[in-house]
Amino acid sequence: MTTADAAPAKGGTGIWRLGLLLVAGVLVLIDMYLIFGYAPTERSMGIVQRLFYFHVPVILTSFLSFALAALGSVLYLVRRNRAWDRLAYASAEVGVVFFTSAIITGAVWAKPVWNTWWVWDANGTLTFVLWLIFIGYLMVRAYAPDAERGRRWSAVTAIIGAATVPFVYMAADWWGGLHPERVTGPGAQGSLEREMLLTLLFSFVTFIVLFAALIAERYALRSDEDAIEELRLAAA
Amino acid sequence: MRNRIFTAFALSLVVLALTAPAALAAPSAQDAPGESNLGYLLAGTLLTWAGFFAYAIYLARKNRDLRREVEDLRRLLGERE
Repeated sequence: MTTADAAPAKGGTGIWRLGLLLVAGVLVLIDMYLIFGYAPTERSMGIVQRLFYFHVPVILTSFLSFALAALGSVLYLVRRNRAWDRLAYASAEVGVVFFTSAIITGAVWAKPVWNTWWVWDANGTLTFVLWLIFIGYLMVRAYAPDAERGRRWSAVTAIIGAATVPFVYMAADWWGGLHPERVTGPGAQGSLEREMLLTLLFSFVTFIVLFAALIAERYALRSDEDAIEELRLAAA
Repeated sequence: MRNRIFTAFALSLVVLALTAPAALAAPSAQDAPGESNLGYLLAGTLLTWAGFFAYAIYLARKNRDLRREVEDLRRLLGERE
């Protein structure tokens, strides 16, 4: 590899990432208006129910992120192409940020509604397990004895983590607990008012675009890190 | 330039998170049942955006550090050649 090959991508390739970030910013502004100005207040829970428009899209986006991490991991294990590993790493890291945010909003929402921050029912426990698995993914990458083994071990971790996602999603339906029934998505039993549904869908689009912007940014940074590693080897 | 835009974006998210719930979800007659929960709504919103803000700052700093490292390595390789 030459110095030019190893140089981080820049220039035109970054324009669309910046554009995506700006689009995300505009969508966030509109979304905040919809959440706090357009969506009606839910009758029994009151204004705190508006956390729903953060909690649900963020947790669904994190599930998507973990699925993408598993897909990238499988393709890396099969083809040994570093680009798939970079996608898996970016998805896992951004997924952890989203999932942590979903856990926090869930806890803050639970306190006034259930009078507790956290419940160790099936949903709560599996959520914590899934979070630990992907924290484990990041730790494997950070502390593996060498980069190649780190990539392989973390790929297996991501696949195990993604296999846990359906159990987290279905936990309340299968094993009960305090978590309410789902009002949207496959197998949902509840329903939403039109304004609430529109706000939820817009919020979902907003977080998907924000997710795409962060994934693109993290993927590019990971490419730069790999390139620097090659430069270091060349300089050694 | 890129880092500044990134930081400005992250900062605007936090400002938005601080102001929007209080400004837009001000209690009304309709909000009466959950009126006392405004603090939780504010905390949840703030924590959500603070998390994304912290991550955006982390990415911006990492980007800056990588650029510096690339320049150092290029200089080192250039000196050797």
